[in-house]
Amino acid sequence: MEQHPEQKLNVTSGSADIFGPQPAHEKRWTIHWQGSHLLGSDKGWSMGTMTGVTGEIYRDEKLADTFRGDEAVANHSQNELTLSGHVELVSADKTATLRCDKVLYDATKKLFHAMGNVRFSGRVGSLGTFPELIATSDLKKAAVPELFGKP
Amino acid sequence: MILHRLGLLALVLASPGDLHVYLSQDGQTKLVFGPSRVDVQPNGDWLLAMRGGVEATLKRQGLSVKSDSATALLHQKGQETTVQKLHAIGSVVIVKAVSQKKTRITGSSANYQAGAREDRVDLRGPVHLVDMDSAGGSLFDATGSSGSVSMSPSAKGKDNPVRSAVLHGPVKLTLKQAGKKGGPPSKMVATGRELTYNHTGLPSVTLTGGVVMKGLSGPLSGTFHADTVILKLNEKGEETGFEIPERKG
Repeated sequence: MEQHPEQKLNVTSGSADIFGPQPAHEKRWTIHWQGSHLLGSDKGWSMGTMTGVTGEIYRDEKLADTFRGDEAVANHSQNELTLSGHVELVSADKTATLRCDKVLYDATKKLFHAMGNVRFSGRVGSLGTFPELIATSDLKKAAVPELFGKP
Repeated sequence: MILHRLGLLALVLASPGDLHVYLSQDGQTKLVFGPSRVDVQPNGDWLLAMRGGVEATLKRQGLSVKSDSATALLHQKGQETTVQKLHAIGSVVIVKAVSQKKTRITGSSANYQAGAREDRVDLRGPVHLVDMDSAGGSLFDATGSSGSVSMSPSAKGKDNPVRSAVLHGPVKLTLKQAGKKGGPPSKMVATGRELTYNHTGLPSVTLTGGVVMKGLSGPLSGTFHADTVILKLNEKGEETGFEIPERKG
């Protein structure tokens, strides 16, 4: 079988709507990017790192929050989206904002795992900085990992 | 070299956990704590659970609170952020200041609730309340097993930090007794089942339930027993007179 070397193809701006598997097929996120590249291999083409990203996270088919970051990498098989560099998440009702260096969004658990200089702010003030913080995708609950989900 | 290494080891062992800071939008409230969790309420208020040693500074209220852990309800009204409720647990120390006057309250737990006209703190004991004058001298010093305190809601004005307090027993009160003919004040100790302190005008204290007063010198030297005693104090916290209400029935 002939082996094809890995190829990299730069592409310009674009956007994508990402849905979960059938039969629920719920909308998980929408992402817009300013720059990106496609990685080609024997298995076909896949999206590499996206730069200058903005987008929306959905929860139960409703907008949960908006995001922006310098870079993003999506792992569709794991239902994960990783944003890095000047990451900002804003809840749909604008009552909470989370800023950090990097965030991993797990669309299955509907949780953000924020890392590096994490700051959580809202109408009443701001909280931080944390090395790590776990937050629900609607930013209604946030806690350090050892307290998340605890009474 | 060994000493240097031991010094480094001590430094590592003594280093505290990560401390985090909450600062209110209006800059009037600052909370410092260890691990924390925030729940955003539908109206945007925060319920903030804090552990690992908590230090709260509420500038507008002139209030500082230290405790092992705490939960605060933070509310935004217009441009002002207020701590509407604060539940502090473990080695609680509350200092309330209005202008130059201060009150220090300690307890094992405290429930603070902000109000428009007055703030209230419910405490579990052992409770120790020390009301101080503007020079830092003790006006009133009492202990109890639980109690509640009504305080001025502001850090400014001519109000007293504590307007009134009720301590539940057994209670112990330590008072200064005015000296005879301008002489130095002496000390008096009184015990009972319940104590009510009022400091909206000249301070007064009502002790009830098996009251025992021990004057160490002066006009009340010796031991004195009653069911209820009302003590009148002057602005220096010195006992200036007392009243024993008649028994009803």
